Amino acid sequence: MKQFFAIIEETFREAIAKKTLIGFFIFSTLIIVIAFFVFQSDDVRKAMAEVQNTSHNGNNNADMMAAVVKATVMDIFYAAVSNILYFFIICVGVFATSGLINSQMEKGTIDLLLSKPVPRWLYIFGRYMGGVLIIALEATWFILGMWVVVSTATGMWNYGFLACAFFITLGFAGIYSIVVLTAVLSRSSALSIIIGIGLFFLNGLISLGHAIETMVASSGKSWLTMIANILYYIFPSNSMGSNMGNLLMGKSIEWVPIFVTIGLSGVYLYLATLAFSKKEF
Amino acid sequence: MEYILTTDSLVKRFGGGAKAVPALQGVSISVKAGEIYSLLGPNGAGKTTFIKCMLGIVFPTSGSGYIFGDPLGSINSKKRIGYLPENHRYPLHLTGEQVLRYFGKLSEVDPVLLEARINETLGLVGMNDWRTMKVRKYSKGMMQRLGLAQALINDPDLIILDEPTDGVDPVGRKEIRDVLTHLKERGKTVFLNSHLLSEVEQISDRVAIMRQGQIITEGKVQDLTSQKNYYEVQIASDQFAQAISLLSPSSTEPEHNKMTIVCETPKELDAQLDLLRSNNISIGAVIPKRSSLEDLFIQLIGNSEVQRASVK
Repeated sequence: MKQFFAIIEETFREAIAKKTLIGFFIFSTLIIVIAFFVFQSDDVRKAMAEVQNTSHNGNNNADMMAAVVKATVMDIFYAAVSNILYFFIICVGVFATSGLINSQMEKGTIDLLLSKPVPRWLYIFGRYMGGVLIIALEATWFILGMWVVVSTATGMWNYGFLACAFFITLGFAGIYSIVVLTAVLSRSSALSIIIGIGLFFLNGLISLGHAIETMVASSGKSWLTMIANILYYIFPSNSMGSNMGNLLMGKSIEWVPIFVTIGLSGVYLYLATLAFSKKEF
Repeated sequence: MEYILTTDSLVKRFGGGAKAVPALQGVSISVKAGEIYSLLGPNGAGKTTFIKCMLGIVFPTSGSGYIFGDPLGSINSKKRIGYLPENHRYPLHLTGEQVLRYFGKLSEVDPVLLEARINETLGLVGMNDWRTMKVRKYSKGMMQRLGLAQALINDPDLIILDEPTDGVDPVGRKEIRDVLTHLKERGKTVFLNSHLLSEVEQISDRVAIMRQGQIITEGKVQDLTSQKNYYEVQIASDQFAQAISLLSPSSTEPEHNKMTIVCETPKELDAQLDLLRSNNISIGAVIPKRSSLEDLFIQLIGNSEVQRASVK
C-alpha cells in the first residue's frame, strides 16, 4: 500500500512539475472568475430580476408557472454548462495526463523502477489512479466554483450539479484506461492522445447512434443496430453527458452506462497491466 | 561458502526465427556471499542483458537462476538487491533526497528508518551538501553518486552496479572504490559490471570475462593475472649483452637492463641463475612476472574486438 501511495504521490509531483496541474487550475479559476463577472453584469442581473418579478405577480397559477419555467431554464442551463465542462475537462485531461505513463517507461527510468520489489501492475495502476485523481480534483474545483457562482447569482442551488464532478471523472477514467493501454502498447504519448481524443469524439457519435437505435431498428436495418450496440458496449464513457442532463433535469439516471464504463475501464486497465507485465525493456 | 546468486545455462535471444539475436548463450555463474564479483567484456557482450535477466527486466529464453534462493526477478529477491543501472535517469523535478525518499518507499524501507537511511547513504557518497538541489542541476559525477546512494537505500545484501564509475573523475572513482570496499567489509556482496579494468583489478575478488554472450574465463584475479613460469631478471648494464648470449630470454628491455626468461620448474630457474653466477654476472633482481587484467582481457577478447568495442 505504501508503494501504491508513493507512485500516486510521484504522479502528482510530476504533474505539478510539468505545470499541467497548475495550468489546469489557473485556467479553470479564470473561467470561474469570468463566469462570476458575467453573472454580475447589468444585463444578466436585469434578466434575472425580470424572471424573479414574473414569479411574484400575485397570481398563484402564474407564479407557479413562472417558477417552473425559471427552474426548467436553470436546469437546462446547468445541463449545458456541465456538458461543456465535461467536454473541456476530458479533452484537456487526456492531453495533460497521457505523458504520465510514458515518462516512467523511458530508458534509464524503467530499469530503476523494475529493479524495485514492486509488482509491475502496480506501476500502471498507480499511475492510472494518480491521473484519475488529478482530474477528479480539477473537475471538483471547476464544478464547485461554477456552482457557487451560478447559484449565488440565480438563487437556485441545484445540488445535482455537484454530482457532475463524479460523472466527468468517471467519463475520464473510461477514456484514460484506453489511453493507458495505448501508451503501454505503443510507448507513444502522441498516439495515446490521438486515440484518447479520437475515442472521446467517437463516443459522442456512438451515444447519438444508440439514441436513434430504436428508430434504425424499426426501419429494418438490423446490421446498423448491431454495430451501434457493439460499439456502445465496447467503448467506455458513453452516455455520461446525457446522464448529467438527466440528473440535473430531475430524471432518473441510466445505470447501465455507469456499470459498463466501470467494467470496461477495469478490462482495459487489466489488459494494460498484462501487456506491461510481459514487456521487456 | 554460501552462493547467493547462481545461474544455470541462461540463454536469452532477442527476436525470433532466423533473425533471432543471441544475447546470452548458456551463462552459468555462481557468486559467493561477501565477495566482489566483476563481469567484464566488450560492448555488446551481453553483460547488461545478463543483469537485466537477474532483475526480471528482460526474461530469459531458457535456463534458470536464483538469488537468495528465489527465482531471478522475483519480488522477494529484489527486496535484498540494490541496483545502479548504466545511464540511469531520475525524475528531474526531484531533489537528491526526494529521489532517495521515493525509491526508499518503493523498496519498502521502514518509514521510521527511511530518513536515517537517506542521511547515511548521502553521507557515504559525499552528497550531503547537494541533497536539496534539483537533480536536473547535477553533474554526471553527482548523478553517479546519487545513483549509488539510491542503490544502497534499502541496505541491500547484494549490490549490482552497471558501470558505476562511468563519467566520474579520478577522485570520485577512488571514493566509489572506497565505498565498495567498505560494503565488502560489512559483508555485502557486490556484482560489478565495468570496463575500467584497472579498477576491477584493484577491488574484485573474482572476475568473469564474457564474449558474445558466453563466459570465456572465470576465476580469482590473482590466478588469472599471474603468468606462470615467467621471471623478470635484472642484470648490471655492462654484463647485459653477455647475459643475453647465455640465457636466450623470451624478451628483453635493454634500456632497463631487464630480460624475461621462461622456466618450467623452480629447478630450471635455479640452473639458469647458477649459469649467470658461474660467469660472474651480477643479478640485480629476480621477480615472478604478472600480467595485468587488461593484458589478459586483450589476449582473450582479441585486439580487433577490443578496438571495435572502443569505436562503439
